[in-house]
Amino acid sequence: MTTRPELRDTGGLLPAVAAVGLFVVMAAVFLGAPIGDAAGFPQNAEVANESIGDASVASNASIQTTNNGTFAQVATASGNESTLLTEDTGVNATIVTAGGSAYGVVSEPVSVTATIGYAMFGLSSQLPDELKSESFLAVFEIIDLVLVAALVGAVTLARREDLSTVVTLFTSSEDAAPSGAVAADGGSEPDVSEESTDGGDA
Amino acid sequence: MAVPAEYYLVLSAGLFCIGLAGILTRKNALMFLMSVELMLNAANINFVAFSLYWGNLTGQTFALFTMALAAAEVAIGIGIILVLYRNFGDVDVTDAVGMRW
Repeated sequence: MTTRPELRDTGGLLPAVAAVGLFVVMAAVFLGAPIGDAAGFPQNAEVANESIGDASVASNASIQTTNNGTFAQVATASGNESTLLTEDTGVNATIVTAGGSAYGVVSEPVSVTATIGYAMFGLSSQLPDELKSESFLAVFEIIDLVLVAALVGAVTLARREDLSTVVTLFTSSEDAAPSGAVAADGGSEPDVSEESTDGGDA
Repeated sequence: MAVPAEYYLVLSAGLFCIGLAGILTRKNALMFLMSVELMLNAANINFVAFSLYWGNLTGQTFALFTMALAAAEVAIGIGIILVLYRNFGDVDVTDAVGMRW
């Protein structure tokens, strides 16, 4: 007897064709919609911003890093003027001009993962300005309760009073329950000729 | 280069329709559960895609909670399937036709 893969169509394939039709409609709508480009997430967030003078000094300014921190150094006729930007070293600092003034700007990479954590626990003060999210603390607590309820529900549904005894949960009477425990409960093997136990035909 | 949002939507629609087809054609309760998970994850793809589209993390955070909700649903679903198997000796959803038996 030839054993070859066959399409399982016990449930009827007409509903599946309807689902494929739904996909075609949705794909046509999505691909035809004027959605535009994604805004994306910012790479860097500004963490410090110090004024170093007029815009004219920007051409003479540079970023210097010493053991004491990161400085914006402006070369003038009387010598070098340093402005402390941050006490950290190894940060990404640049000189920018805006509104007629020059600034030393320190930026650091935005961590999407960390921001998700801040949003989840409602730490809105920690959220970077460049990457916004709503506070999810209330949702977190509600989902917490839902998960506990699901755990209790699962244990309630799975519990049986005694080994090899069928718990008649949701049944009207003991008599109405099927006779004998199923094989998985330690009972006898059901008669496979009458009913399938593996759900293989479903 | 960012992938256009349309492609995420088409992927999500495909996943959703696979789940829908599974629910409409299968009788096995476990297959039902898997199909519902596919549909939930299609929604998750949309959440994450639009999170990137707007540059706002609300969607990504919400997707995490949807996953937690899916876990709760599976816990209850498997419990129900267990009871179904005890009472009917099978996990065929078409066997259970009455509220009480």
